[in-house]
Amino acid sequence: MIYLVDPIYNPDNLDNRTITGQTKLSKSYKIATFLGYGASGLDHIPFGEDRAQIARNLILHADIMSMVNHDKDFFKDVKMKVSEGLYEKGPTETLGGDNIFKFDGRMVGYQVYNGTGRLDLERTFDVAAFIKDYARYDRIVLDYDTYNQDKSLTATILVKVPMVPSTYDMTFERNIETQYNGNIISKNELVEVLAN
Amino acid sequence: MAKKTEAELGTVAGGEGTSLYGFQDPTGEFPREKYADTNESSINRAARGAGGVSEENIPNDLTISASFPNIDLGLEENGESVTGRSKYPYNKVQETYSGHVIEIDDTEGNERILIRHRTGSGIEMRKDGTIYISATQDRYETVAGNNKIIVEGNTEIAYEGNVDMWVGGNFNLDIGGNYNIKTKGDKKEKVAKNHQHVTSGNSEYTTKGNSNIATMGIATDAALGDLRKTITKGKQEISAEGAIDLVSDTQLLLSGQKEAVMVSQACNISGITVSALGMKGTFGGQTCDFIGKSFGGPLGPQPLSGACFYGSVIGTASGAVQAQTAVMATKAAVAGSLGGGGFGLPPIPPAPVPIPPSGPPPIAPIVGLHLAGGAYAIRTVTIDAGGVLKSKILNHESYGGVFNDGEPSTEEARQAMRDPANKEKLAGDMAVDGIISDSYNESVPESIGRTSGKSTKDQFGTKPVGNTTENSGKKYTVENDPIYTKKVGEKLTQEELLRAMGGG
Repeated sequence: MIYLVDPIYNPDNLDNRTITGQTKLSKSYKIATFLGYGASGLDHIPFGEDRAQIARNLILHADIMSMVNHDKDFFKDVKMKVSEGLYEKGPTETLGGDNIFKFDGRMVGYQVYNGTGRLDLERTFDVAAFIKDYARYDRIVLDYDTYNQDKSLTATILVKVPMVPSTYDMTFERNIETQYNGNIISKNELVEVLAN
Repeated sequence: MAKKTEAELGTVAGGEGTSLYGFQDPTGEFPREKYADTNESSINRAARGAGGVSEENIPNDLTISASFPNIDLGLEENGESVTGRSKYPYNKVQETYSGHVIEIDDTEGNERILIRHRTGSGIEMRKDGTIYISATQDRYETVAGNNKIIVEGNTEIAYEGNVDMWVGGNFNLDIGGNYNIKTKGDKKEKVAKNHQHVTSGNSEYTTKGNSNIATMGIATDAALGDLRKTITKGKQEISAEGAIDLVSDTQLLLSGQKEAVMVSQACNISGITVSALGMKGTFGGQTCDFIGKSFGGPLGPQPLSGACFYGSVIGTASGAVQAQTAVMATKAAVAGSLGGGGFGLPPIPPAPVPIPPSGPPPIAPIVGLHLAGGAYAIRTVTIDAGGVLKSKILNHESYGGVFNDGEPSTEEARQAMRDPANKEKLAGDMAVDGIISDSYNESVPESIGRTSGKSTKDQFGTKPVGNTTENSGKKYTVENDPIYTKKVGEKLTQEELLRAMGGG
């Protein structure tokens, strides 16, 4: 299918050299939105074509964020934020696993916060189920972990989109899975893990 | 309650100005329709502690539209909102048509003042005096005069976008504790005039990449203690188009383990005591002058006894004098026997007394000892053998070079471990270092709740379709969707758990 992109935000209509963190992907979101806690900017992506590819991939993510954060009915009480954006590899790191997809903007990690500014595990599941049903993606990972030093539960929605060509003609695999501490606990199903 | 018709409101002639329902809001906005749906009192829910403008049973609160993981806004206690319930008649509520709210609550234990815009923006003063200000969009603040802020406690500020500050005057920071800056990007300082850095303690600069310092004027490094300026693992070059002076008030030592070279069109070595020792090589040149004692030749049974000398000597050697004397004596004896005039024996000069060298002879074993140890030995230089120090500084040793910063946060660790290889390699060390918890390897959660399958369901179709005010038949209700078979907090059975995890 061909994904319709607002020509205002289509990076292929821009000079590749001008793509920076301030480049807008939608009315509300810029590339900087997807830097998350990872990369500090686009300095590690020196070539314009690579930046354009990242921008194209992130346009799909900007749409997903808009779907959730601009929903004033079902998700008016929550805000989905980027927790894992563009990945900048370490000085001697060899990219592997899902970090390969995070490196070029195909995969982004999201966390869902409630009106009091706290991570909302219950609504995270709702948002994940919503994205699963209404967004376009290759893979959704509903990821839970107990990495926090106090062993509290953290939920992250990892969404992977396909590599977006300049024609925007692509297919979406729509796979889902649930992980717990990096281990797959369910394929083809989102499972809500409860805090103790 | 649906809006009244003009006839019902009594605004037409037939009603003669009297409402069919007695005293009520002539616009029909109040009480709200939703109040009628539940057949409840027309007194504002907020005044009765029964809810707010948006939700039943949820008091009016500001909308907190921004959050940050490490900043606790104190809006929850044990997962519950800290906003208490109001009691009638202690909460004075003003709610406008569009949904703006002003509450002045005197309910015991929940004394607060709330001014809330319909969007959720506003200000709230809570029972303990805490003030919350929330803007669901932009916030602007201008001060024509001075602005003074005094905070007795701590301040936490999180900017998720850029921060630009323009300071027209001086920017003075007076810090009682430490001043820590951590940036994931570059740090650039541009100073139009002078830059002064004064450290009362020690200074330490670590550069993991290259370091370049360019000074267009005079560069001066002054140390009143020792100066160990450069420790270089690789090659070090000091070049100057002008002169270089290496001057010491005590000792100047130059040592090159493989070779030391001094080259110049005029090379001068001067000293009250001068030694140039070696096992082999060449000393001197075609037109060099030598003044002083000379010893040469191989080692003999006794020191210098085997010495010999090669070359032309102007003058008379002692052996030659003796030979000459013997010849002359022989000639005299022959002349005497022939009856010639006697000259007598020629004078015999005394045998030359050898002058011993002023130090041990520089024979090979002595030179070897000289080079191997003592004050004048060749120095051995070893810097960071095996690259241990470098690895430690770069933190490659502990976390395999996965992080730019050697002390990753839990969030950074979480991201890096999306690569299973990183998790396998680093998680153990990070757990020991307290960056992640030691439960990182648990693979099965203790309890799970809802599940949602791959097939698409319209479980979110709660938004009314069409003009539902007039035709509620178009509103549809979400049925109990099979994918939400469990409510929050309700644990699955072992069988369901296995099925959810793909085992059944």
